[in-house]
Amino acid sequence: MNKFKKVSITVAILLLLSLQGCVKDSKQALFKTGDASAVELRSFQSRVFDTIDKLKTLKTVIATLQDLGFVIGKADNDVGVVSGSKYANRHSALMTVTVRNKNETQLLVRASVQQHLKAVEDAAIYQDFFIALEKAMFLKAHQVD
Amino acid sequence: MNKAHQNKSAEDEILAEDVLKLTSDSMILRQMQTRKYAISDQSKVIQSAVGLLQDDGFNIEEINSDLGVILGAKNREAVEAGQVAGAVIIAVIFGVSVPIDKEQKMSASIVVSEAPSDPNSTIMRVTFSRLVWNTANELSKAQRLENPEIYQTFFSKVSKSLFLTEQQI
Repeated sequence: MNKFKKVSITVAILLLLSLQGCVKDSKQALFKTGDASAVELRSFQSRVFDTIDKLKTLKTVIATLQDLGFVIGKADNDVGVVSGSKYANRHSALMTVTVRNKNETQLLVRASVQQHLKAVEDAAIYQDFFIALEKAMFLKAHQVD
Repeated sequence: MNKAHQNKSAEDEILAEDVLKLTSDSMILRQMQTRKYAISDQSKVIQSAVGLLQDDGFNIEEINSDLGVILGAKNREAVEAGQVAGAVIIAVIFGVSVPIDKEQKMSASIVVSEAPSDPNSTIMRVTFSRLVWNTANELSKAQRLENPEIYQTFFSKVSKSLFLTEQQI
């Protein structure tokens, strides 16, 4: 009996230890972001283009997403939003791109991506997108000051 | 096209860091998924595409005529004979039941735009994909459908459909 007790206590401790990595409340994910600050994230995700043709920019964004293997799910030119998803069995990604006026001569394009149940906060991944977009736009993508 | 076909299994092997990289396949896929039509009226092409999706039993889930975006989807059975046979064999030999594919949501995303160097022509690009759930209600597949025959079939229907639209019958 004594031995059984010892075993069950050990099991209980091991179980508690294994729970350490889990979150207390999964609802916290609502406002939880990763390690990057909001300012960093915006600089990864945003670029400025020297054009004010929003419709053409949105169309180019759509074509670029299609080239990257995304299925276009939603698009609205009044607000300037395009969303799509990229499927692959072991790897699916969701992406939203917004286009808005930055000033009288420039547009701001911002992309946000999630994959594997996490927001992408890797500057290099966003850079890949803007390289593809730049080529399709025939315009240089400027970093946001 | 053949290359895209051969790489059909490779599409599931995308690395997380390469998700937004253009690959050598990107252009092959673009070719396979795109056609140009000698018609300048984009709204006519959009109407044709919508009618065509309806013909094939798709629901229109999203449409934006300014951007030329149409998203259609349909839910269908996804039971395949091979899987059922496999599951039966496993059940007989090992006495356990394995989940098999049951339902799928198939999507068609169509984008209609003006041809870049030719304002009298309209370009249509379509991408098909599907999500499959098994009998345990788990998502078992999330695939882009990149089989050339699918696209050939679709575009031959578009040509017919455009002809029908032209004829106003």
